[in-house]
Amino acid sequence: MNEASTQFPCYLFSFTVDGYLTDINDILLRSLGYERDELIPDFRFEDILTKGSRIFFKTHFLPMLMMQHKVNEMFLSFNTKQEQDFPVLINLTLEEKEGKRVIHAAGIQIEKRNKFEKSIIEAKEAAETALKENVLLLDMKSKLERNQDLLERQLHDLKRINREHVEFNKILSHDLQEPMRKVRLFAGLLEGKIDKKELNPELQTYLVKLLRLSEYAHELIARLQSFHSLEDRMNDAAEGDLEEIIGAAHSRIGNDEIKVNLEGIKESRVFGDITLLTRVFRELLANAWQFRDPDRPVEVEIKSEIVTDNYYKSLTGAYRYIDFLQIQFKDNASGFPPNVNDRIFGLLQKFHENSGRGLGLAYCKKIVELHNGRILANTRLKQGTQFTIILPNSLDVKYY
Amino acid sequence: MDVIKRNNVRVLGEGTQVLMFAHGFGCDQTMWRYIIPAYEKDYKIVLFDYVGCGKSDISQFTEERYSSLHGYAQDIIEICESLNLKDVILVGHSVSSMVGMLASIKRPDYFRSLILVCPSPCYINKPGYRGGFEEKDLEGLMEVMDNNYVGWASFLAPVVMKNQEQPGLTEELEKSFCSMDKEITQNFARITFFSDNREDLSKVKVPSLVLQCSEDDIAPKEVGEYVNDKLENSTIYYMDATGHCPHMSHPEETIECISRYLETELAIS
Repeated sequence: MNEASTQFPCYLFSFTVDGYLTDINDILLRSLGYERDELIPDFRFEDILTKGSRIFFKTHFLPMLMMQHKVNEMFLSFNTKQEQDFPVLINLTLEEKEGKRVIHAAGIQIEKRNKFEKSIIEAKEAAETALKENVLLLDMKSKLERNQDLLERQLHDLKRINREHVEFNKILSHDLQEPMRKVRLFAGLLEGKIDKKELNPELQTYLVKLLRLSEYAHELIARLQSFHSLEDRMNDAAEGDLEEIIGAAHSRIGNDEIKVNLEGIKESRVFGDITLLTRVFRELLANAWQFRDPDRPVEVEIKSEIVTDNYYKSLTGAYRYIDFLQIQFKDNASGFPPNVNDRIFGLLQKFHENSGRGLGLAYCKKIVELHNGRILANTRLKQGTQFTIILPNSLDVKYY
Repeated sequence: MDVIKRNNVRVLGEGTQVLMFAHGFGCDQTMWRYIIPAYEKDYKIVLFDYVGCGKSDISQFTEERYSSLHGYAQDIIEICESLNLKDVILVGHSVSSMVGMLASIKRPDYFRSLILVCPSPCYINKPGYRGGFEEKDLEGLMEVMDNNYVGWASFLAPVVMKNQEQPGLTEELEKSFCSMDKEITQNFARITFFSDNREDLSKVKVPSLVLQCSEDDIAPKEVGEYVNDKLENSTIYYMDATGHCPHMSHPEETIECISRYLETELAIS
């Protein structure tokens, strides 16, 4: 820097891309309260900034400088040797010379202007807050009206669905079950009356089939009814221990050949109807056993984790982040065919030759959803299935 | 909802393995411009701007959604969902290291690995932990931001007008700044610098790389080592590059580090 420029009434200085000061004029030295050899070569540009300015410079202005090779009208607070702050307006240019990059800076102190600006900012902020609150209130009001409208329609629908639900249950428990009971009764009477020796074998087979099918239909209807009315039979929400719940499910199945690895469980509390939640694991374990790969022992790995996610799953545009318990249940059974991921939870869905009644996973889904949770499956044929269960992590659980 | 438009998502490159780049606080996807050319031939590159940054659809910003880093993590998850991405290698700078981490905890099936450039799980000093900053330093940041937005037409315009079309102005601001809106940027700053994600580190299941710069006082060496320590399956590379934006100030070394990790740890050649 030549003699004249060190005396110009503005701040002139240069620094490397790494931040180290290489040049600085007298006026700036005086404002900062340092001697030249105190700053060069050991001080970086950011060392003469306040911490807030340092973050802003590094996150906003430095990227801009790298991309555009200049930054204009940048406001930063300098920090003197005596720990005093003063505001400076700076322009920067990045110069590349013989493969070396140097940043040149020119700035002026703007103490007075800054004071005026501060009062403008304050006034503007007060006005803005008032305006914003007003806009927010009006917005909320119309949102509330819209939601009320929606709520009314949904309640109306819900009432109708509930009525149908009650009717359907009655049909299942009586209207369908009664004729079935009579079919069984008459088929049984028929069987008793007929002299077996005289009946031709073909007709005899028919009769046996008739009896078996009516028995099956009777049982299926009873199970469907039980599935359908599950929510009416829920217990009050309680707190349970995940490991204990899985242990109970495992011993209910009474199958020692299923190896359950619980190492990934970290003292997880579970909230809800503990009996039903135990059933979820019973069904999943039974599922792993039923569809086991005959070539390897049945192994199940269960992990748990607290994850934070949006509470609102049905409402769009609404956000409240709360903690959920996320349980990963991974089996090494034969898996399901590709692209059936969500359908495996469907009622009476069967994907294997030796499928049961197709209710087990449907129960899992229903129970988890009644707890305001979600269950997902990621299945790979011949490798196994990973179930992910996400449950609200608080006793404040509401059944749905 | 058009996520692609909302987050200004750009997909380029000729490969199939996805390399997704997430920008940090104070910038947008253009900050990756010196890194992208090295991977265009062999990777499928996904770039985006968080809502409220760069050329994203600013009208989609709601305080409710973006009141914590989870809202930003939701942006990443929704981009993966709408592009049907799997096995993503996510390169996240600064706060995006944490955002990417949160996304991978929620949806581990979407991610193959995380590359964390200058990560910090907590910027503020806490008992037994040195993040590097005190709360009053961050108040200073807010004040500097206030002052840097003075004089902008958008700043002086009523707040309710900010979502309206102002094409000439927007273009001018893009040239001079990456973030267009003071309120959104200050909100982002607040949740970036005041959040504490130390508890989440141990929940990350995918392998990760910490890129640690020298002389980075926003994310100092001790903090990078803390992150590397708490992550289950992590590697740390110490860079010669100084500062907090090595991908801009020292792109060659950054590319060298990312490539070395991809080749040696993930066995991608």
